[in-house]
Amino acid sequence: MTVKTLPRQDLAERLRGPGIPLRCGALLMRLGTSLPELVDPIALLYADYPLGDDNDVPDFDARVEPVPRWRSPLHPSASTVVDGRAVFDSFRRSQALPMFEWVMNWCVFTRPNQYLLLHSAVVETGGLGLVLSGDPGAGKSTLAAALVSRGWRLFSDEVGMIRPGSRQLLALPRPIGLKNDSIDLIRSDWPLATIGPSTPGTRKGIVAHVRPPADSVARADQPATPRWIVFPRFEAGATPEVRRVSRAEALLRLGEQAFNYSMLGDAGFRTLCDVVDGCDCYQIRFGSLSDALACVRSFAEVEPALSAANVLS
Amino acid sequence: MGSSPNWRLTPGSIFHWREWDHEFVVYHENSGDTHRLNAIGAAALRRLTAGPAQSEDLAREIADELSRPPLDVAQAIDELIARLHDIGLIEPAGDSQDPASPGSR
Amino acid sequence: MLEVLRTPAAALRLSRPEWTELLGSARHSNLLPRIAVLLEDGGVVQQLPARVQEQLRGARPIARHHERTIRWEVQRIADALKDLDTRIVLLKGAAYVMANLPAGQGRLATDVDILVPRDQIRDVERRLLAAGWVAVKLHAYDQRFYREWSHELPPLQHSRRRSVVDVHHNILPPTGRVRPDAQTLLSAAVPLKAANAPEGLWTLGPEDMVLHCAVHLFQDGELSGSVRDLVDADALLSDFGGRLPGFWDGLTSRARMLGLERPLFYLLHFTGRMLGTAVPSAAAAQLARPPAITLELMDRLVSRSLLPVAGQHGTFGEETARTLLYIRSHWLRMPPAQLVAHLTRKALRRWSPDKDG
Repeated sequence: MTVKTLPRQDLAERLRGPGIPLRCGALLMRLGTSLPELVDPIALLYADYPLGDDNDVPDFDARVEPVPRWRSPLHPSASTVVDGRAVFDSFRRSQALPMFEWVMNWCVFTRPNQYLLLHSAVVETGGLGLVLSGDPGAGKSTLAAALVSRGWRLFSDEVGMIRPGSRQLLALPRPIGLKNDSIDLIRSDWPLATIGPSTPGTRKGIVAHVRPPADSVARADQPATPRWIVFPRFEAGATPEVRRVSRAEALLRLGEQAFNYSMLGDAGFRTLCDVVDGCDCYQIRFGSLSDALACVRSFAEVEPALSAANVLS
Repeated sequence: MGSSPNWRLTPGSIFHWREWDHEFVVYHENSGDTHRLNAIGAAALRRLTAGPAQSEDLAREIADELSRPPLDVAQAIDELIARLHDIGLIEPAGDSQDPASPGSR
Repeated sequence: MLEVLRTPAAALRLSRPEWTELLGSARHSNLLPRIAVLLEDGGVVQQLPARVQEQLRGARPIARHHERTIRWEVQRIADALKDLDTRIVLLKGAAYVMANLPAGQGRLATDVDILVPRDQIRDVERRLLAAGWVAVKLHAYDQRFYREWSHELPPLQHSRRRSVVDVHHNILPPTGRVRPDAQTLLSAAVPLKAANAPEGLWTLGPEDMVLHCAVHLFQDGELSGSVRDLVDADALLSDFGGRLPGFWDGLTSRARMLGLERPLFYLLHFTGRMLGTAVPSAAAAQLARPPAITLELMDRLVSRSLLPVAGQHGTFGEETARTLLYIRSHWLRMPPAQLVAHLTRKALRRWSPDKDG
């Protein structure tokens, strides 16, 4: 049973009540909200997610709830609640959707420390994983979305998950967060993409989310072998450039960007070494999406045999 | 105090190593820091895990071992020693009585 | 949660919804890694639901990381202070971890607290500053509070590693009405003798370690998440009580000598009541009981403020209970006139615009 099989009224009631348990790769997340305006975006972005068992123990329970009017008399506000406790400051209610995505990200970034958690976008083709790592604004989500539209499977646009000792990337497909110009860029590059409502006025500007292809969600339990590590850098007007990066340098850069590399101690070091070991590592610089794809084409097939599932979703 | 030229690893230090194409990464378990070292740096740190050494001797041995110009190596070693001392991986030997017990895995 | 802390085997009887509730409370109180350790030691982990095992597995690295951090920071601090001919006494988590006490297992905290003789505090500060620590930027008012009234220096943070050390010259500020003599604590300190511990460090004697915990819980301003202090105390009492002959008598007479009978009474009362800590009745009987009405009030305040329940944003009752306890503990630390000024300023600052930029 997936979210889209729930009648809208049921979904709204369950979100308002105990929340809905969603299976996302290895994690079980329980989502809830009593904000009616979030029901449709959730139904849209999470349509293909399988529902878990209501009684099962979720990895986290994330909600967005309105702040009582007397606490915030100037404008309608909402706040994020994790496992029954308020976390973070309240925010304008108009920001509820990106804040909901953000609080789920926060849980995913801080909770499952039984895994090494890289701050990366990950896509897969033919069982091989491509890890995109870079500062916000480097273009990793945009490039990941473009690759997904060309037949790659989405693992995650924010976190690369590896069980220590396994050498395997695990999928955690969630909506791809796009901001500002990237939203229209992906709309024209991937006309069939399902994109949620745009929210202006966030800290990052305008934000919108792309629904992950049904195939990526359905196959979230299939891991991948890390094969490429790519450090993208978007620079307006740059001539495209592909540079090999040594494995030692890649390890340090991935470690610096990771959420819990230092927390895991020697297990983190060994796990990251194992990831880097089988990978070719590149830094790519580009000024446009087509240049970025050309850079990737120099070491990997950008358009793997298109599967029907990806085209249709 | 006065800096002694004889250096040793901070007692109890545990290192984990990995090498790719003559480049080394080493994880220092105690501090939780990961370092990237070239061949000279790796040889020097390996030598120090075997026991205390003076930087001049270190430079001479490593220049020999890697067949590099002694002067270049000596300068690299001095910089490395200063850096390792700054981050607490090594300390001047001889001002504390307990013997260094470095481990390496 | 308390039941599982008391008897790990109780975990086997929990339903999955109860687990969901427990994991949330444990995370909120910073006790999940500790509970993971207890369940592992109790040999019950393998029989728990798979998703619970996963979350316990995910909680362990945080505590191991904190332990590793403490060990390294203590080594760096010892190195920075190695030429000082004085007693450097590790307090709280740093002491539990470095002395390999059960109380240090699965404990979350990376700040290192040290106690040094008052006349050495400037030297200690100077050496730490020279070795890369810097004073954490505080409001000018807070600076003054620390210098004039408090029992510690403003926190020092290492400029590269971001770790924090708190340098104390007493475990209570000198203005408090109850004034344990720091010199007494320092001279009863014991040298730290443990594998891999740097030279020249000390910990409080076992009795003083427990009393410090009592003072921290029942007289310190910080009350958030302090079920953890009770858990610390429970681990210390069970450990020392079980292996040190004469510990209980020593503890009560030490409390009397330092004027800390009341905090110790509360500590024994609440660890026994909430965590089932075995306290010999003879020991408890040696301490003066507070009047029944005070004790009843404390019972209600403590159980409500130490055990926040899931719900909205902290119930109104919980907030009031915390405020009451906060005022109560400051009342004991500062002369009343200062108290009013301090609390007012604290309250005002919460809304000041420079707080979060």
